[in-house]
Amino acid sequence: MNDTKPYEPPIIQVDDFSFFYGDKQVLHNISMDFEENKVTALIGPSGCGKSTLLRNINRMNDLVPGVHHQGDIRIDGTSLYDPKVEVISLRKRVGMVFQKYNPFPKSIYENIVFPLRVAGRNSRSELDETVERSLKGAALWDEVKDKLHQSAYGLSGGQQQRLCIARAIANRPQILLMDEPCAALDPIATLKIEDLMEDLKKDLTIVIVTHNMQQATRISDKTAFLYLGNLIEYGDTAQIFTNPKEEQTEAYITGRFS
Amino acid sequence: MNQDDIPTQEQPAYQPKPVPKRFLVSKATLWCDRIMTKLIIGGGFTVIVAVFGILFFLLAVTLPLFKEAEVLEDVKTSPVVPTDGSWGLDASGKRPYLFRHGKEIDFLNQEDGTLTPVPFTLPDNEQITAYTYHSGLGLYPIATDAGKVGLITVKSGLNGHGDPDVETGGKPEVKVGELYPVTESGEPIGKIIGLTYADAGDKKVFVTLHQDADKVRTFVMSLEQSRSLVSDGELEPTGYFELSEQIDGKPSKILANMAGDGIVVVTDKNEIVYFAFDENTETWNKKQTIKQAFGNDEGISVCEWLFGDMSFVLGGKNGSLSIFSLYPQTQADGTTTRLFGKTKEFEPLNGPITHYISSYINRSFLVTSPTQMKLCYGTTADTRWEEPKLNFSPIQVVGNHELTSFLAQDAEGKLHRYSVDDKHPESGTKALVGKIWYEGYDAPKWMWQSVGGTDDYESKISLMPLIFGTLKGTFYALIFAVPVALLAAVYTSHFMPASVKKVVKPLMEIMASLPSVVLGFFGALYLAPKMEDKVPAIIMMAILIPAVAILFAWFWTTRPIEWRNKISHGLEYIVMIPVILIIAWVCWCYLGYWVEEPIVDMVRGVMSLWGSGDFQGTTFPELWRNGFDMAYEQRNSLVVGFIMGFAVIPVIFTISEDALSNVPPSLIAASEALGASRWQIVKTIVIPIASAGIFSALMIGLGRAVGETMIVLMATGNTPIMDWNIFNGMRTLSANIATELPEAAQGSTHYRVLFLGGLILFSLTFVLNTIAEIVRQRLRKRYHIV
Repeated sequence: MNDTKPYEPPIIQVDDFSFFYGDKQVLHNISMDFEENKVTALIGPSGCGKSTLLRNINRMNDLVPGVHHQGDIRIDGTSLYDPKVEVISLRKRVGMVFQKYNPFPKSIYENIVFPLRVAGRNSRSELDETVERSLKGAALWDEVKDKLHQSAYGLSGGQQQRLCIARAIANRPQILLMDEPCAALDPIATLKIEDLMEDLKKDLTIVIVTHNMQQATRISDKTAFLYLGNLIEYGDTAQIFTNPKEEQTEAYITGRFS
Repeated sequence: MNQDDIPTQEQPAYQPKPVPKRFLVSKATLWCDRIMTKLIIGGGFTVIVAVFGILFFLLAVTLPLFKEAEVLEDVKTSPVVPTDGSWGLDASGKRPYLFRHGKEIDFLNQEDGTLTPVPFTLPDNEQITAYTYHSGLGLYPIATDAGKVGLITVKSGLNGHGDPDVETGGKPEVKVGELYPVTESGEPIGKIIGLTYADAGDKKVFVTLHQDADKVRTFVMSLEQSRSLVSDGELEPTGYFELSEQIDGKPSKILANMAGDGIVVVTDKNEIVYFAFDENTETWNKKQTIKQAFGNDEGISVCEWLFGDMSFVLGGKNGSLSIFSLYPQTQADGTTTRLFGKTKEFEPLNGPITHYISSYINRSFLVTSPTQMKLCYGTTADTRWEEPKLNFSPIQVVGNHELTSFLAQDAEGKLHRYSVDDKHPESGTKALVGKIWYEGYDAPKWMWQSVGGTDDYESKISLMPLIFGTLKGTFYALIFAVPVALLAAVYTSHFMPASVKKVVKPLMEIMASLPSVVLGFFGALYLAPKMEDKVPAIIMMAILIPAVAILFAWFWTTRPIEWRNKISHGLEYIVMIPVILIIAWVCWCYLGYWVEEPIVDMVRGVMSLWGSGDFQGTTFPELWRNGFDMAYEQRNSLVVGFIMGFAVIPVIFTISEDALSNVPPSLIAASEALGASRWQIVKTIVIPIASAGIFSALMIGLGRAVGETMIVLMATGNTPIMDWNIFNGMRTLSANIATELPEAAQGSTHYRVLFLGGLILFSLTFVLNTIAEIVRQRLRKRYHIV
C-alpha cells in the first residue's frame, strides 16, 4: 500500500480511483496528485463527478447508502481506506467548505470554536486565540469583532460563508476542500473569498470545485478538467486555459458545451 | 395656444386591446376557487366553534356546582295564625298544620288563612303532657299523664308534589298510635316534661324526662318488632332503663339517634353527655361528657342531629355554631373509641341561636337568631344562604322533609313562608378542592367517594385524589416512556442505517395504533399478576441493562480500530440486542429470585440499626408491606407506568424522530466535516435544533398520558388515594368519568362533578398545549427553524 519512493509523497494522491453509487459508476479510474500549498481547481460540467471526487477526500460520501469504491486515495502516503483510519481524525485533518454556507444556529464565537470543543479543548484562552486567528485568517475579524456573541444568522451571506471558512480553518487542517464556495454569493463577496484563498494557501492545500472559469484562472495554481467521471486533463492552470491539450477541454473552457 | 380647443377635436376613443383568449381564466375555475376557499374557511371555523362549544357545554353543566342557595320569601300569602301550638309542615311544603290544645291538628289553607281542625282522641281520656315534632317522619311523639308514650301520625293528604293523594283524596288524616308505658311496672313516675323518639326500623326508642319532685329523671324505653317469616309481628317493649344516675345536673335536651344505640343529653350545667347502648349487657353506658363545648362558658341553646345522626349541631347562647361528630379517638390508655369531637366551626351568628331545622335528605340545616337566618351545609361548613337582617324575630320555625320550604312565625302570629332552591349544597370550592373533616374520620382529608350504600351517606367529592392520580399515572408513564422513546428516536434518526429505519418507523407507528383497551387488558390480566413477584427482577433489569450496555459500549471502544471499522456505522445494535435479551432473560427468570432474599436480609440489617428490622417475610412484597409499612397492590403504578408508557412511547418517538430527522443535513455535514463524532453532532447540533419538535413530542405524549382512559381504568385498581407509592394504585380523572358516569343521575351533583373532572382534563390539555406551543415558538425562533 505504501510507495517507498525516495521523494516525499504528494500530499494527496489519487490512485486509479473509481467510485460507484450502487450500480452507477461516477468516477472512472482517476489518478492524480495534489500539490502542497497550492490551489487546485476541479472544473467540468454538472454531473462530471468533481464534487464526488472532492467529497471522497475526507470520506464524506461514506454514509450515502450503497456506495463503494475501487482504487485508493492517500494523504501523506496513508490510505484513507486503511482499516486503522479513524474517520473523525481524518476529517479534522481535511476541512471542508460547502456550496451553501451553513453556520450553526449559535453565536459567531461558538461556531468557530466548535471543532475545538468537539475535540475536548475548552481552555478559554485557547478558544479566544483561535477565534481571533481564524476570523483574521478568514478576513472577517474587523467586521464581526464587536458582535462575536451574536447569532451567526445575523451576518450577510458572504460573511456567513467566510465564517464557515474561519470555522473550517479553526483547527488548522492540512487540507481545505471547497465545494463551489462562491456559488451562492454576489460578486463582491466572491472577490473577498478569492482574495482570502490566496492568503490561506500559505498554510493549507486547497482543493476547490468551481463552475466559474474566470474564478479558476484567478485563484488556482493547477486545474483538473473532469468529464463524465473521467479525468480528461490535469495541469497548470495557465496551460489548461491557454493551451489545452485535449479537444474536450478546449471545447469546455471556450464555452462550446457545458 | 388655446388648450380648450383640444378636446373639441374629434378623436377616436382609445380601445384597449382584447386579452388573448389563452390568458383568460374560465368562470368555473374562479367559482371553484371561491367555493373551496369559503369551504376551507368554514371548516376551520367549525373546528374552533366545536372546541368552544365543548368548553361552553362543560361550563354550563358544571357552573351550577358553584351556585349559592336561593331562598325566597312568598310575600303574597303570609296568613296570621294562632301562636299557641306547634307547627308542622308536610313533605310538599304546601300544607302546614298546627298541633293545638293536645286534642286537634289544624290544617292551614295557605290562600285564605283558614284552619281546618282534625280532632283526635287518646284512649282512656289521657292528657298530653309533652310532645315534640319530628319533621323527618312528619309525626308528633307524645307523652301522657298516665306515663305513656306514643306517636301521632299526620297525613296531610298531599303527595310530595303538593297534589291530592290518591289514597285519601286530599283529605288530611291524623292517626293516634298505640301508647306504651315508659316504665316496666306501668306506673307513671312524676310528670313527663319532655321526650324524644328515634326510629331504627325494627327498633324504636323513646327517651323521656320526668319531673319527679324537684328532680328531673331520664328514662329510656325501647320497643322491638319481632319479625318472622309470616308476619311483621307486634311492637313489644324490650328494655327499660334509667339514665338519671349517670347524669350530673338537670337534662334540658335529649337526642336519640336513628340507629337506636346512642343518646345525647344536654344538661343545665352546659354539659353534653353521650350514652351508647351495649348490646352484650343490654345497658346504656355513659361514654363521654363534653364540658365547655364552645371552649368557653357559653351556654348551649340548640343541640340537634345533623342528617345521618353521626353528628350534632350545637348552637350557643352567644351565637356560636359548631358541629360535633363521632370519630375514633385514642384514649389515654391507648385504646381507640368512637366519641364525639368538634369537627367544624361556623362563623357565629349575631345573637343566641334560637331555632334549628334540618333536611332529611342531605346535610343542609337552617339556624336562626332573633335577627338572623342562615342556611348552612354540614359537610363543607359552608353558608349556603344568609338573611343578615331579619325584620322579625321568629318564635317558631318549621321545615319540610327535604327542607325545600320552611315557615317562620313572628310574635304577631304572621306566618312567613320561604322556599329554598339549593340543588347542589354538598358542592362548592371547599368540597371540590379543600380538605374536609368527614364524619367518622379523625382528621380533615381529601377524599373521593361519591356514592355510598346508605341514604344518609356523606358523599366525598374532592377532586384532589383524582387530579393526584392523573398526575401520578402520567408521571410513572413518562418516567418510563420518555427516556426509551427519546433515545430510540435519536438512535433511529441519526445512527440507524436507512434500510433498517424504513422498517422500524412504520412498526412504531403500528404500535401507536394499538387499541388502548388491548394494552389495558394485557396489563391488568397478564402483566400485573406476572410482575407481582418480579419486582427484584425488574429492579435488576433497570440497573443491569443500561449498565451492561454501557460496559459493552466501552469494551467496544477498546477494540482495535480495524475491528470497529468492519461493522459499519449504525449496526452496533446487531451486537447489542442479544446481549440485552440475555440480560433481561437472566434477570427475569433467575437473578431476581437469587438476589431477593439477600437484599431483604440486607435491608433488614440496615433497618435494625434503628430498631425496625423485626418484620416478617423474606420476599420483596413482604419487605414493602411489613418492613416499610406501605401498600403493595397487584395492579399498581409500576404496571400502569409500563403499559401506559407503551402507549405513549410511539407518540413521543414518532414526533421527535421526525423533528430529529428534519435537522438540515447541511448542518450535519458541516459538523461531520469539522471532525465531530456522531454523538457530538447529535448532542451539540441536532438536539438543540430539534428541541422544539422534541418538546412538542413530550407535550403530546403528556397529553396522551393525562387523557388516557382504558389503560388506567383496567390496570390501576381505581383506588382514589393520594399516595406516591409506586406499588399502590390510583384513580385518574378520566377513569373516574368512565367508571362513574353510567351510574350518575343526570343533573345530579355527582353527574356535574364528573363533568367538572372532564372540564379539568380539557383545561389541563388546553393549558399544556398552549405552553407547548409558546415554548416551541420560542425555541424555533432561537434556532432559526422554519
